[in-house]
Amino acid sequence: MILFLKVIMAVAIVYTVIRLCRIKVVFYKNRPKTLRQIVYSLQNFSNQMVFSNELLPDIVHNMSKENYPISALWQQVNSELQSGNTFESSLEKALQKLQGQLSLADDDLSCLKVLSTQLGQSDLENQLKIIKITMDKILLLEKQSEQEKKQQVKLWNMLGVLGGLTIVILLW
Amino acid sequence: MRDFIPREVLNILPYAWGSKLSHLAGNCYEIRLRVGQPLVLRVDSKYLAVAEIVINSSVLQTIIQNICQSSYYAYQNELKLGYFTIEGGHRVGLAGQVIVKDNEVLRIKNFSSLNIRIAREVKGAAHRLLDYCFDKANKSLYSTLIIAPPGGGKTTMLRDLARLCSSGLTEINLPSYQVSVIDERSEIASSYSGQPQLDIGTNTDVLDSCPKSLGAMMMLRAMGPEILVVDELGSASDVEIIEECLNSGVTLFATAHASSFAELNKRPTLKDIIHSKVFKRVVLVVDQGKKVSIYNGNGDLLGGWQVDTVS
Repeated sequence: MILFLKVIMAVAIVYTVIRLCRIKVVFYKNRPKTLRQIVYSLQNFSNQMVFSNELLPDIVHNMSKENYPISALWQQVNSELQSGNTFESSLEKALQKLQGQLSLADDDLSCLKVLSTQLGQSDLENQLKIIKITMDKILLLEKQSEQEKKQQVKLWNMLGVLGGLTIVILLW
Repeated sequence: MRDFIPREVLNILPYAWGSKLSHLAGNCYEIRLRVGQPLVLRVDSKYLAVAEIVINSSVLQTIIQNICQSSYYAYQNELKLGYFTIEGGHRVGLAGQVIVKDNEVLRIKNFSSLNIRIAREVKGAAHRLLDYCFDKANKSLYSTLIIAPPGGGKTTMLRDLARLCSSGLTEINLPSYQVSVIDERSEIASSYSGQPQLDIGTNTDVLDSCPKSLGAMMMLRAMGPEILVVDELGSASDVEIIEECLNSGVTLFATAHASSFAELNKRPTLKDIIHSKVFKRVVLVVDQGKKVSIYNGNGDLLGGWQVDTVS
């Protein structure tokens, strides 16, 4: 009976450690995808600014209706804007609220925070330059994140199993 | 006439001002904001300072931010021209530091003053004018120039004249005409996002924020108007509009800055226009339509009226 309980506990420990490491795996797996979606959003911003001269809140509103994971961010920004906040504070608040849900590293977040202070604050020519610079930065981060994904996903998967087993062996 | 500050104007002002202004704003035409000075309301013909609201530059910045909705790029032209038209057709004029490049205004920054002009719609203001501008026997309209000093009420009169001619008036057998408005400064129809905010009649097409000389050609080609309506004639290119209208048989309703018929003859461009006798009627509006005098193209007084209050 004791042996049976020990086995059950061991399985539970291994499973828990794997699940904990899985959070990191999901983060590294999703980060490149999220960054690509942000690039897509920025492309959307510049298109709507140039071709339909749309206001920032209207662009955000349109993007919040689209069905892709990053739209959660734009939904949050949209609701902040509707509460009367500026775009800058809306994006900052949304990033703060969704930090746990979005697979974004600190570098990615600071890049978006810089964007939030500049977007909408100058003429069209300048806006397009700002968007282009931000897109280039994010594309670079995306490349890095792809490399990290290759290394880290394997590492954390292994760490989950081995870490769990190590704890079990130590406790046995 | 309004006896309150419209919601659209309150929306762009700091929230805390709403309660302070609402009880002061009977018949408010203008709200003037200058850095370091108290807010000033123009109520009827008087200026009323609101000592409890003193303006600072960050307040002006917030108001501009509210108007632009964090999208300065979409208001490049307005920042260049120095005014915005907001929802409801109200006009916000700007003053501050002007950035000039190659002798052209790029934009205004570091705002120091704002002037919020509340859009007024006085339906019926031009009703009596039709007795002079509409030839009942021939069922034709005379091209009419409305003159007044700035803030005199000429655009209000022009808008109502356009509205009446567009919708028609059965009392005097005035048929409804196809009216095209070239609203260069968004003052006639007070358009916001391309949509007229004021009543300009049932058969009116509006070309918003378009230079008069370009817009006249576009409207004549595209919309086939019977009446063309433009605001504030004065530049050399405006003579072209008049020639185009003459050649295409379109009636022209226009306004110009002048405080008397004699003053029209002192302005070089307007002098030529008057001498060409295109305008069969010249209407002098004084004190927001309270006094109106009507002249023929030669400057002979045909009639007019004076009222105590505009209703």
